[in-house]
Amino acid sequence: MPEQQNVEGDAWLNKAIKILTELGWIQKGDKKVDITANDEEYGIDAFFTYYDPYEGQNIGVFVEAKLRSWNSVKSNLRNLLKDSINKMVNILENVPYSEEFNEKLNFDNTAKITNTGLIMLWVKVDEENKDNNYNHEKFIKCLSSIEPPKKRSFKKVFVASNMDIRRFCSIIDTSKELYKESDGTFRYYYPSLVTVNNKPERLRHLTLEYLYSKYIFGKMTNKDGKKVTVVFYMDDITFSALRLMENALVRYQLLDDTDIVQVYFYKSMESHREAIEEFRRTITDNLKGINVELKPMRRCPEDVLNYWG
Amino acid sequence: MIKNYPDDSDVKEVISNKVPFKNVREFFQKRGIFYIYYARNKIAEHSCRLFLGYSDYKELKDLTDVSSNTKKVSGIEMNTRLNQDEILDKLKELKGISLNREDKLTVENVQKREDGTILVDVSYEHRNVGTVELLKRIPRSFQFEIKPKQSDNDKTVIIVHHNTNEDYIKAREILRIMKKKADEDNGDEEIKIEEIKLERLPLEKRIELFDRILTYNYENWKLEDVISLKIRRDESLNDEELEETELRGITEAILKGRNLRTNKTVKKFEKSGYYFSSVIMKLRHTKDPIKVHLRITFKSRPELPEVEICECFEVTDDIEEPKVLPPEVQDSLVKYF
Repeated sequence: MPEQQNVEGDAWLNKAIKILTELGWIQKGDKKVDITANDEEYGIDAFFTYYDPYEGQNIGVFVEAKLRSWNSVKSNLRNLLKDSINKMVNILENVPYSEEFNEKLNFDNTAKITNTGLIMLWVKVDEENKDNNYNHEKFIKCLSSIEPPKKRSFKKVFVASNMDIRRFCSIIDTSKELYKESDGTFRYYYPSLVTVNNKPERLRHLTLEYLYSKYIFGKMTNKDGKKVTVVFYMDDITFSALRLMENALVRYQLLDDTDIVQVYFYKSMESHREAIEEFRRTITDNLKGINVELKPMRRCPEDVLNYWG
Repeated sequence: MIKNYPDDSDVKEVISNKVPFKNVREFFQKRGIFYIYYARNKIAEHSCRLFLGYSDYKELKDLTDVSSNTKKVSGIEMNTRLNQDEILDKLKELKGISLNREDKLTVENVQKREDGTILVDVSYEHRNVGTVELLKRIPRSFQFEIKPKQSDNDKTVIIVHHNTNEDYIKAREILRIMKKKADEDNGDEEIKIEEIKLERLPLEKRIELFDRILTYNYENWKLEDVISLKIRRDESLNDEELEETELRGITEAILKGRNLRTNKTVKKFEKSGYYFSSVIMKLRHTKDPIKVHLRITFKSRPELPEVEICECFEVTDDIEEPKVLPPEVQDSLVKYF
């Protein structure tokens, strides 16, 4: 049994690594590396770096991949999450300061900022027993009930579960299509923020903050040479929410120098047709001269572990 | 309704200064982000870079500890044999018309909920001397509920969700207009409006009321402490705050389960013609780790009863978001008459 679990656990780790790589992150060093720091040994599933335009530097992310069946966690989910988070905090507190870190993972000291962790928890999909599956409400309840430590040095730990991971895959698949459609010109667009005072940047990867946002902006030139502004829209499909997004486009100057706006909806368009139609009418009125296209994002199979990628 | 997408700098400001620390962390935890830090500033710096959506910002707004977020209610009673549907019809007749030329008092909407409660949305213009104009008109709106009677012989309870005292007065005005119409239509007194005034009760009963308020067995809440008590001798004079030692004595007695009226200090007040007018109780929820400071006041100028949550706490003594508690407590309170 342990071997089977190990095999499955490895399969999930490999899948997680694949997802993060497709998101544009760069894996450094091997997977499943042991690092000794302060006389303790820490097992690191994977370590990635990416450039954060709002930090102006590369940041390093420690990744832990966990695979479970719903039956085995449903009564203990809160403790599982709590322990994982605490374990990650320990890693963040100690590993970056050990010599082995630079020797085995952070080669050339690529990542200057190493205060971030990502826990990718996948709950196996049970086709036969529908009740024995990931429950998002329960997951959220557990997340909010945890009291994480308060440290003096800033750290962040992101927790991704089935719901988030499927969203990541959907983003990857949609982006791949856009990349092809645009002859390779598609980029994620990072607007200028007041608190950072940065220049806007067009990058091929997604930061954690963008992955956890409700909108992701992109720009590309399509095959006809037209300039396209892209929005991956993860928010609720209500008229008010859509109008707010429209205002964000104006606010971040995403409508200047654009011929077409393509909004890709993550949530089901079918269940919200009135809101979409009403929105289509108003935005077409407001954005005279710009073509507006409303489409669905690529759907991702429920069982990412076995059927995606 | 947020229409303008907020600047990251504004979001940073709100998170740093306007939302309690615990609420900030929980807000992001629900979204899968754990900030392992002891203060809001850095959390705000990083989290403001997220492009959040409509309901996120709405939720954030609701978490700000702005006084408009603390819930307070007042109440009025009606003695009538009319049932909810008949009351609903009478109110519908008033809908959409300006009931008062000066302040454009209007019943905007009337609807009945599944449980029988009638919700009435009201708007009016608050007029005050202004700087640019001589008389400034500010539109205001609020809502009041007419709860269904518990039994035929009971009174009908109305709960006003007021932001200012004037809202209460407007609610009362609408009820009076409705009563006038009902009485005229029927040729008899159909509705009797009874305001919940402390001074309606004889002196001993006023103190007894507070005794009941403090010792009542609220379903999910338990009295932990009495933070403040005010006494009044005359409606025209200011209320006086009870001194620390006197307060301690009374609180101890109550927590031990003793009757207020047998207490030495209370007896002393009673003799001098004083009675209680306001109390702030610290209540602990029996199941969830929440505590509140609940204030019950019988205001005198203008006269209205008010129940308000002044502060909320989670057991670790951090501030938490307000809950819609008052209506429940107000309900049980009003039943004492």
